[in-house]
Amino acid sequence: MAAGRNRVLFSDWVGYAAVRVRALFRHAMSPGPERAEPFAPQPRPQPQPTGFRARYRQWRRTRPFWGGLLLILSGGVLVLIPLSGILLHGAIKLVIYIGIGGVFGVLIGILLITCGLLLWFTPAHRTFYAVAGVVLAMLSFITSNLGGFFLGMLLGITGGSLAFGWTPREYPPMRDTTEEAEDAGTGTGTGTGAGRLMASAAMPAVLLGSLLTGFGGHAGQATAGGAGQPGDCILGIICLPSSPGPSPAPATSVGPGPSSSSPATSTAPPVPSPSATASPGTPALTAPSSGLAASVASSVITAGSATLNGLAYQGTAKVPVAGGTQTMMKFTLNSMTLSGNVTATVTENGQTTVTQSSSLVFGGGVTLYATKLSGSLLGIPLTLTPQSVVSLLLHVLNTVTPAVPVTMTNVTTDQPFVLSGSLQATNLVITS
Amino acid sequence: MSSENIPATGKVRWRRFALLMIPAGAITAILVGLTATGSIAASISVSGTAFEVTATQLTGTGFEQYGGIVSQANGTQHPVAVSAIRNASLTDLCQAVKVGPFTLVLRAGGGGTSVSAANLVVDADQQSGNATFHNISIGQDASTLTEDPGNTGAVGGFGEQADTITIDNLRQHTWLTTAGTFTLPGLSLSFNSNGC
Repeated sequence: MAAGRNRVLFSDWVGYAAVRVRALFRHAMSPGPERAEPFAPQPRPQPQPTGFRARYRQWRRTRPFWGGLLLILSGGVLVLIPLSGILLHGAIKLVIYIGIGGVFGVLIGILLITCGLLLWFTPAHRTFYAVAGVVLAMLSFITSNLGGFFLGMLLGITGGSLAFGWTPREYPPMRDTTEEAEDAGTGTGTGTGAGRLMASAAMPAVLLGSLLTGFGGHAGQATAGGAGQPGDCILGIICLPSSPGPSPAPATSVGPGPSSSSPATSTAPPVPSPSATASPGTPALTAPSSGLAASVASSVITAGSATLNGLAYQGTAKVPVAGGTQTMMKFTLNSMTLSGNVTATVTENGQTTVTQSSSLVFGGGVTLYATKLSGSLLGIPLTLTPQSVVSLLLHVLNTVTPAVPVTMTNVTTDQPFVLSGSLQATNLVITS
Repeated sequence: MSSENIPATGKVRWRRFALLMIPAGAITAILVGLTATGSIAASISVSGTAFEVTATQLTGTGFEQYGGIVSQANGTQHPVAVSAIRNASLTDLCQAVKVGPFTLVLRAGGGGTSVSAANLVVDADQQSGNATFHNISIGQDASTLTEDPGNTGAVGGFGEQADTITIDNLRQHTWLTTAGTFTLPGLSLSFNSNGC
């Protein structure tokens, strides 16, 4: 007896639940309120409000105002965190560095603001915009600075839920006749509870589904980035243009490029030496104009002492620089140790960047280009320039220096351009 | 709002609010949990106020550095060293960002699993640490750098690049940090006034 009764109840419940879920989805899609019965009908024609405050209050009350406001604030937080540097400092060129992550973050912020505004101006579609806002806010956790350091995400989820919960008080009951019939069959209290139970089971599925769709795209992007794909590609399809110089390089020269400037430098210098100026030389794997070129910014390296192992003077070289070539001295070394308050000073656009280090140890084959090299060798002050006679003298001494370590003190190197297999910098401090 | 079509006033029904809020909160908690274990990569892009980043070790491949300038609203220009690393992993990462009167401290990459970042770009006005580079080139024209495709400096500018970089006891004062993706295992966020 009891079992039979239970079976009846169960099948009843299944049928009922199906009806309820269908009704709920119909409600979710319909612009109108789902049910109006919990509210006592109010006198509809309120007097047309006069005065700004009253009209504003009326406007607020006839739409999910607070939900929309929170969504707009949430989008604002997400947009401002990555962009505040640009907005505050006016450094437009920093936009370049924002990259994919920043674009996603800003995009989600803008969509959240749009959802909030649409909730205000088309409250009839509030269910859609509210759910979209919540989904976007959750996505922002992965795409935009952990959801604007949680603040934007929490504002968005709360705002979207508020807008979802907002229901007009009085509205002509449109389909309520069918609902009432359904509700009449079972007791309203438990019936509503079961319906809500079903709905709260369905809602996570909807949310999770939409989230996974977005997340799948993001994961694809992550793997594309992780695979070291050149040029910041989204899903390997949309690629940001690289700057004109190295753009042909990534596919071919990321690997071979640096290796040509590695220990092999002494034999195959990437910068053409005077004897090799006629031949294109090694940097042919990139565009001829974008091979290794030296900087023209004013730069000086000073050090208390420099120990040079296997020094060989290779004569002067015409090193490519922006807009031409620069005649520089070329040295090759096995290794080089700079110590005693090593300071590199670079001055560009009237701004100076100072790099200090207690020691710099270059190894694995070093090629050094410089326009001027001065210091004391065995207590004798020396200044070497591409034009100086002393450099010719050094050329003569070439037979000796490769074998004997040379130590210079109070060394100053102008316009250094160093290629080295390895570098160890101890107590490095860079200050701009 | 014409008088014949006054929209109905409404109110928030809290059970309906909870219908969306509770599952959304649950899913968010799962997301936060997955990110905190490092299973999901997050995306970071911060700028604005100068902030501090420390790590006991940074290792990276595809390193570039060149000079850049951050202009402030009052017209003063702030020189920075722009460091770009194609793939970086950081141990014991700590970032302190000033948010109004508070300092938000983000820590990750502690217990054994390091933080990994792709296409990391940092504009710093102060950096320190013990650094080791392989295949480095110093004094190269910043517009011809090739180690991190897509990131280059000004034509003729002073630049350097290396195949690999290792920095121990990294400490930097930055104006802008961006990264394509960040996995943050062992993530913890806190507010305190001490910074890193």
